[in-house]
Amino acid sequence: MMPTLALLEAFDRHGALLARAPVTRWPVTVGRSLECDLVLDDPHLAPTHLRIDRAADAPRTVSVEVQHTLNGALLQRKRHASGERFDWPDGAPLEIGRTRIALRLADAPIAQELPLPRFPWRTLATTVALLALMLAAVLAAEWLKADDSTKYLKALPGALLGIALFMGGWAGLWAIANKVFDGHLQFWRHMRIACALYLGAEAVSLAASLAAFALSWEAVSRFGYVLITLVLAAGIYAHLAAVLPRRRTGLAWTVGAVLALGLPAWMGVQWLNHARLSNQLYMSSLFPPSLRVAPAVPVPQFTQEAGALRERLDRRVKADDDNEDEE
Amino acid sequence: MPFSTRWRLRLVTPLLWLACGLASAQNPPVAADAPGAPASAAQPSAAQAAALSRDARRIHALSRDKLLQIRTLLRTSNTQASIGSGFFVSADGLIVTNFHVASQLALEPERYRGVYVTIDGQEGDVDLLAFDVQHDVAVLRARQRTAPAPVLEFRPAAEPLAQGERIYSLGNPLDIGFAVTEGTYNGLVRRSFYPRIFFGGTLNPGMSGGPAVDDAGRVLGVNVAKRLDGEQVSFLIPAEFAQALVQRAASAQPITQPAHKEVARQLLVHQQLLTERFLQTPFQEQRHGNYLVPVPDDALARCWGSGRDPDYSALHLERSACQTNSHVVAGDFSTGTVRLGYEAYSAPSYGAARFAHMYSRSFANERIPNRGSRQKTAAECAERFVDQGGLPLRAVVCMSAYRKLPGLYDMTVLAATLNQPTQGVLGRLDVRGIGFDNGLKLAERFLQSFRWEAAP
Repeated sequence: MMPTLALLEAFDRHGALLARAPVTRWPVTVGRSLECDLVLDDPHLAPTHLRIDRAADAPRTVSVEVQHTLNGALLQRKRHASGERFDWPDGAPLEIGRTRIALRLADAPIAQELPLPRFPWRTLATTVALLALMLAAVLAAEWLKADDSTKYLKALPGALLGIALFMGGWAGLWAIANKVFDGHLQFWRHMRIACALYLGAEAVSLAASLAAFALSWEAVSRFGYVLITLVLAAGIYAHLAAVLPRRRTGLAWTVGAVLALGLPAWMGVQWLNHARLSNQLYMSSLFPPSLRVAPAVPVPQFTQEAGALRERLDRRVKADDDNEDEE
Repeated sequence: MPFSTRWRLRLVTPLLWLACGLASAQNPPVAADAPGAPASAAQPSAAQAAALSRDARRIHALSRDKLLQIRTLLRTSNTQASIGSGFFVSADGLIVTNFHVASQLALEPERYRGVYVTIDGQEGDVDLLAFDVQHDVAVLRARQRTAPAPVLEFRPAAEPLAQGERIYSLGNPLDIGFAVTEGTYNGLVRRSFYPRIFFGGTLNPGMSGGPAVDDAGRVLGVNVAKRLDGEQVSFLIPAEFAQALVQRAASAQPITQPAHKEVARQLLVHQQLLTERFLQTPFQEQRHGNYLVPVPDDALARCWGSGRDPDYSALHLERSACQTNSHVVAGDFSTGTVRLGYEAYSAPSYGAARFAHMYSRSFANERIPNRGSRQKTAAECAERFVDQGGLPLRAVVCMSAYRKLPGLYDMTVLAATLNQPTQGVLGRLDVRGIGFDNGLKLAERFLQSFRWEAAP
C-alpha cells in the first residue's frame, strides 16, 4: 500500500464536505472529468481545472497550475486565470467555481487537541439575569399602572402571559431564521438579544423623558423616538448578525443605510404634513416634583416668551396660503 | 379610566342654530305642501285653547305676507346650501334675518347667492347689505322689487314685555311650510354674554331669522337658537339689535367680495369685550384640597363639577368645568367662547412614582390640534416650568391661528401643579377666537391665579 502524502477535500459554500481524495502521488488533478483525481460536480469547473504538484526538490511548496478554464481559481482574494501558476500556502482555502478546496499535507504539523467546551455557565447566568431583569421591568410597569394591589394581582397573569408570548414568538422567529441560514437554532441567544433590546428601549425612553422633565429639555422628549429607533436598529443588527455571522460587515452597513434613509424620510413626511419634525406638541411626561432640576420662571416671563408663537403661527398661515395658491 | 373621559363635552351647552343645512338635517327639499291651507289638525278642546289658537291665527293672518324664506343656493348647481327665515322691515325691500343664515353670502359670495321666497311662492334675489356677527343679525335687500314690500313694525323699546306674556314666533321650519308657534316671554337669558330673550316655545331648524312678535304683531325679537337638551327652551335676539343694523344697512352697498376682514373686525371687537369682562371681574377661588384654582365669576360662566372615578378607588379625583355663554357664529363654525376645566388628583396610597405615572398620563391626554384644518392652522406651543408664588407649575400655551380671520387665534393653556408627590391639579383654559395679546393676558391671569395653601 502506498503512503498517503496529503488529503484533498472539497466543501460547498456552507462548509459541507462534498468530496475528499487521499493523495498518494504527485501531481494530482481536480475537475469534472472522471480522469481527475478529485472529481467534482460543480458546473462552473472545467473538465480538468487544476493541476497540483509538489516538486521533489522543494518539499515545502505546493504549486498549482490552472488548466484550460473560464473561471480560473481564487486564492486569498487573488484571481488566477487559465495557464497561470502559483504557490498554494499551507492551510489556505482555494476557491474554484462554487467549490472551496483545502489541502492537508501529511508532513504538516497537527494542531493540538482541543478540550470539549464546558457547560456554558456564564451564558446561562447572563440569560437568567436578562430574563429576571425583564420580568422585573414588566412587573414594575404593571405596578405603575395599577390602582391597588388587588387590581395589580389581577392584571399580572395577563401581562406576564402577553410578554412571554410576545418574546417567545419574537425570539422563535429569529431562531427559525437562524436554523434556515446558519444551521443552528440559537433560540436562547435570540432571547437574550430580545431581552436586552426590550430593556434598552425601556431604559432609553425612561432616561429621555426623565432628562426632558428634570432639565426641561423638551427636545429630548420630542425626539425620544429617534433614540428608541437607534436602540431598535442595534437590536435588529444583533439578531441579524447571529443569523448570518459571516456577513456582519454587510449587515451593519445595511442596517445603517436603512436608518440613514428611513429616519430622514420619516421626518420629511412629518415636515410635509405638519411642518414639524415630531408629532409631539408638548412635553407631557411628569415625574415626582423632587426630580425637577430646571428652574421655574415667573409667569410674566413665560407669557412674554410665549409671544414668539405669533411669528411661528404667521409662518404657518403664510405657508398654507402659498400651498393654496399652488393648488 | 379617568383618562378616556377627560374634558368630555358633557358640560358644554348643546345648542342648535336654526339655519337648516339640508344636507345635515337630512330633509329632502320638499315643496311646501299647501302652506296657506287651514290647519285642520288643530282640534282645541278647552275654551282657553280655542282663544289662544284664534290669536295665533290672527297673528298668522297679520304677518303672512311679510314673512320670507331665505335660501342660499350654490351658484353653479342652484342647489340649496341652507335655508332660514326672514321678514320685510322697510317698504324698499330691506329684510332682517340671522347672520348664520346669510353667512355664506358674506364669506363666499363667489360660490353662493341668496334668494327670498314669499309665502305664496314668489322668488327673488337678495343682496347682503350688512351683518352683525356678535348678535347674529344680517340685513338683506330684495332686488328687482317694484311694489312696496309689506312691512312688520318693531315693538318700541319703551314698552317692555312682562314675564310670561304670550308671544309668537314665525318662520318656515324644516322647509315644510310657514308656521306660527306660540310661547311665552321669559325675560333675558341669565349669563348670556349678549342679551338674548328666553322664549318658552318651540323653534325648529329653518325658523332662524324669522320674527317673534307680540300680540299686536309687532316684532320683539328674531328667532336664533334652541337648546337641544331641553324642551321649549329657545332663544330670540332682542329686536333693538336688528333695528340698529337696519339703520346702518339702509345706506350700505351690497357685499360682493368675501367679507372676512369685516367678520374678523367684529370678532376682534367681541374678543376685546370678552377679555375686558374677564380681566375686570376677579376670578373666584375654587378649592381642591390645599389647592385654590381660578374659576370665572358666576355671572360670566356656568360651572359643573363631578366626583371620583369608581374604577380608581384609591384615587381621589375631582373634575370641574366652566364655560361662558359667549359663542358667536362665524360662518360654518362657532367661536368666541372661554372654557376652564380642572382635574384635581390626590392619592396618598399611590406613592410618588405611581402618582407621577398616572398624573403624567392624564397630562399627556390633552387634545390639541396637531394638524391644521380648513379654518385654522395646527397649534404651536410654548412650555416652561413657572413659579407662581412658590407653587411650581408646568405650563403649556398652545395657539392656532384662524386662516381667513387675521388677528384671531384659538388658545389652550395647560397647567400642572408640581409641588406635591401625591397630589396635583391639572388645569386647562380654552379660549376660542381671541386676539394674540389678549390671549396671553388671559393665560397670564389664569396661571397667576393658582395657589397652594399649606395646611395650618
